[in-house]
Amino acid sequence: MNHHHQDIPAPTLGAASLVLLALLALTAATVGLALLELSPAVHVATAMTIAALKAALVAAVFMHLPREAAATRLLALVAAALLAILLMMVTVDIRHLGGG
Amino acid sequence: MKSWLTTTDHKRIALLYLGTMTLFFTLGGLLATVLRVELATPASDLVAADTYNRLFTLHGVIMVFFFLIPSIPTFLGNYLLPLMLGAPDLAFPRLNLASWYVFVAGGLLTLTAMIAGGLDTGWTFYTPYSTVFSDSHVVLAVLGVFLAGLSSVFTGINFIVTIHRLRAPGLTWLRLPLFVWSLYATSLILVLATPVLAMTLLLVAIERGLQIGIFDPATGGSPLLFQHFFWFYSHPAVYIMILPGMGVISEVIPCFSRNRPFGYAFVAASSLAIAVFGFLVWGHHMFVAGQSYFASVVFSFLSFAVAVPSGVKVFSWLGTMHRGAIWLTTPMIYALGFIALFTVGGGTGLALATLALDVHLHDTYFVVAHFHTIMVGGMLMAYLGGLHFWWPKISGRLYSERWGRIAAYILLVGFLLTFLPQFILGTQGLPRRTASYPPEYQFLQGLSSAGATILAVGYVLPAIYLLASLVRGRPAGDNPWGATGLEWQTTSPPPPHNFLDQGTLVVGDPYDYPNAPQPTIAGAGDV
Amino acid sequence: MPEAVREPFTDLAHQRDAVALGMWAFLGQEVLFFGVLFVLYTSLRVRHPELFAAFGPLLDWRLATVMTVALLLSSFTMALAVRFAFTRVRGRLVFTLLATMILGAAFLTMKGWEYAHHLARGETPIVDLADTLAAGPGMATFFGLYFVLTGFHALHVLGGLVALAWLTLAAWRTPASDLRGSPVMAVGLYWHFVDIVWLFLFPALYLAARPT
Repeated sequence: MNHHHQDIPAPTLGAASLVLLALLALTAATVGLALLELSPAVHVATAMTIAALKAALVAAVFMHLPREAAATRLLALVAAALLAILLMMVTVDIRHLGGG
Repeated sequence: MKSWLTTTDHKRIALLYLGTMTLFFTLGGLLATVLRVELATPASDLVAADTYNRLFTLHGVIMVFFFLIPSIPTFLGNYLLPLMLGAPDLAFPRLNLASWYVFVAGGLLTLTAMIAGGLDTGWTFYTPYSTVFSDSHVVLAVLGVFLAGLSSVFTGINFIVTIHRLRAPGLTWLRLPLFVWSLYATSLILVLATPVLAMTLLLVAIERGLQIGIFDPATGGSPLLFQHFFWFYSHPAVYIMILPGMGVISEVIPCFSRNRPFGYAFVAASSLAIAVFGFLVWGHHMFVAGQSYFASVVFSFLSFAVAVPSGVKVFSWLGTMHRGAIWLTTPMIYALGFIALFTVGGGTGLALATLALDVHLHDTYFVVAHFHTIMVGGMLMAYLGGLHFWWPKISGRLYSERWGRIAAYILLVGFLLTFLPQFILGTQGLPRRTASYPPEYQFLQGLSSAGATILAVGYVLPAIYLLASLVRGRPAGDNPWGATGLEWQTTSPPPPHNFLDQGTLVVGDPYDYPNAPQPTIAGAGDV
Repeated sequence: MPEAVREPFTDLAHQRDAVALGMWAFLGQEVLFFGVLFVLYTSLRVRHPELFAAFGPLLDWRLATVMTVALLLSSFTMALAVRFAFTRVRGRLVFTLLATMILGAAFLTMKGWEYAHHLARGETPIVDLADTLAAGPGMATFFGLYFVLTGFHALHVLGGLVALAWLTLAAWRTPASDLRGSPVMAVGLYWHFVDIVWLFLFPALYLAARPT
C-alpha cells in the first residue's frame, strides 16, 4: 500500500493562516464590543455568538470535522445537542422557580 | 499470571472483568445480607442506625457502580462483541486493558473508603449532606466512583469505534445481532452521560476537600443543581444497566424459540430510542425535591414516553415465542423470568412517574422494590441468562443442565418473595433507608428477609456448578445450542484472534433459525 | 504491513478513520464534562447576576486577551504539526510541536501568575463551610467559580503538554519514513478542543462585567 497518497486531514499553511487571522480578528471584536456601553443581555449574546463562531472555525478547519465520516460528525452533534438540553432544562427550571 | 495482566486479548480482559466483578457482587451481596438480617426485626438491634446507613450506602455504591453498570458490557460485551462482528479484537485493545486497570483502581479506592469506616450519604451523594455535614469518607468514595466512570467511558468509546469500523465484510447494520445494537445504544450513554457524573463527583470532592462553596446554599450554591447533574447521568445509567440485558434476552429468545425475532428493525431502533428518551427524563427523580412544577410536568410526560420503546421489546419477545418451538433450557428460564419481572418493574416505574402518585410513593419501599425489580429481576436475570447461554462458548464445557434449571427456579422464587412484599410495604407508607420500623410492618419485612435467604442460595448454586463444569463438564463443541450468529462459527473457546480463518465466515441473516444447524447438546431431541 | 499500522487494523486510512472517530467520541464526553461547569456558571449567573457585576472587574482582561492569543497561536502551530506528521517532514514536525509546547507553557505561566496575584490580594475561593454564620453569596462564591472553571481548563492544558512532550520525543527518535500521523492528529484534536473551552471561558469570566 502506498500511504503517501493517503488523505491528509490537516489544513494547508495558507488555510491555517487565514483561520488564525480570522480568530485573532474575532478576539479583537469581542474585546472591543465588551468596552461599549450596551445592555447586559446584548453583551452576553454577542460575546457568546462570537465565541461560538470561533469554536466553529476551529472545529471546521483545525479539527477538520466536516471531512470526517458521517458517524463522527453525528457524534459531535449529539454531544453538543445534549449539552444544550441540559443547559436549557436547568435554566427553564430556575426561571420557573423564580428568585434563588 | 503476567501474560494475563498484560494481555490485550478482549476475551482475557473480559474474564478479568468477570473475576473482579464477581468479587464486588459478592461483597455487595454480603452487605445486603446484613441489611436483611437487621430488618427481620422492627428494632435496630443487630447494627446501630449509623452503621445501617453506611451499610446500605456501600451496598448501593458497590452494586451500582462496580457491578450493575459494568457487568454485561465489560464481561459479555467485551467477550462477544468482536466475535459477533467477525473481528479479531476491539478497535483499541490497549485502551481496553487500561479500562480494566482504571476500574480496579477505582474499586480499590472505594474499598479503602469502606475499610476506613465507609460513608453514609446513600449512593446518590446528595449535597449539602455529603459535602458539609456527613462525617464519613465521601472524598475517597467519590474518587473511586469517578475512576469506575472513566473506565466505562473507555469501554464505550472502544465499542462505538469497533461497531462502526470493524464489522466483517457483508455485515451491514441491519444484519447486526440485537445484542450488538443494544451495546451500541449503551455505549452512547456511557460516553455521553458518564462525564456529567464524573465532573459532578469531582465538584463534590472539591467542595468537601477544599472547602469551596459550589452547591452549598449558604454561599449561593444550589443543591437542586447537584440533583440535576446527578440524575442527568444516573437516570440514563439505569438504561446502561438494562439495555445490554435486553440485548441478551433478544439473543436467547430467538435461539430457544427456534424462530426469527419478531420485528427485528423495531427492536434495534427501540434500543436507540430508549437511549435517546433516557437522556430526557432525569427530572422525574426530583418531583418532590423543589423542582419547578413546569419541569416536573415535562419530565413526567417524557418518562411515560420511554414505556413505548420498552413495550416494543416485550411485544417482540412474545411475538418471537408465538409459533416458535420453545425449548425450556436454563437460559430460556432466565429470559422468561426477565420478561415477567421487567414488565412488573416497568409498570411500577410508570406509577412513580405519575406526578400525584409519586408524592405518596417517593422515598418509600415502593421505590426500592421498583428499582430492584428492574435491576435484580431484570438485569441480573439477563446477566445470568447470558452467562449460561454463552458459558459453553467461553469455557468450552457444558454445565449441569439439571442444576442450572433448579438454580434458575430458586432464584425466581427467592426474588418474588424478597421484593413483592416491599411493594406492599411502600404503598403502606414505610420509608426506605431506616434501620428500625413500626412493628406492624414486621410480617412483610420478615417475608422479604426469608426471600433474601432463598435468593442467596440461588446465587451460590451457579458459582458451584459452573466452576465444577470447568473440571467435570463434557466438551461443548462449537455450537451446542444450534444457534446462529458469528460467535458460534468458531471453536469453543475461540482461538487468540477469534477465527482460525476469517475467510470462511458465513455472514448473512443473523437469525436464520429455520435453517440453523441442529443443536448438538444431549436432550435436544425434544426441540 | 507498514510499521505505522497497529492491530487489529490492516490499513492506514482505516486506522486513521477509527482513531478520528474514537477521539471525537472522547471529545464528546469532554463536551459534557466541561458542560457541567458551564451549566454551573449559567445557574450562578442567572440567580446571582450581581456577583458578576461586583467581582468581574477584579479579573485581568488584558492579560486574559494575551493568553487567548497565545492559545490561538498554539492551535495554529498544532494544526501544522498534524500536517507535517502526515507528510512525514520530521524537522518541521519537531519544530511545530515545540512551538505549540512553548505557547502552551506560556499560557500556563500567565495563568499561574494570575492565580498567585489573586491569592495574594485575598481573592480566595476557600470558605469554612461548617460556619453556619457565613456571609452568604459573595466574593468567595465568584472566585470559587473562577478557580474551578479555569483550574479544570489549566489541568487539561497541562495534560496536553505532557502528550505533546511525548509526541516530540517520539518524532525525534523515529526515522522520517516511519512517522505516524494518527497519534499527532489525536493529540491535535484534544489540543484544539481545550482551546475551544478557553474561547468560551474568556468572555464568560473576563468580559462578564464591562472592562475598566
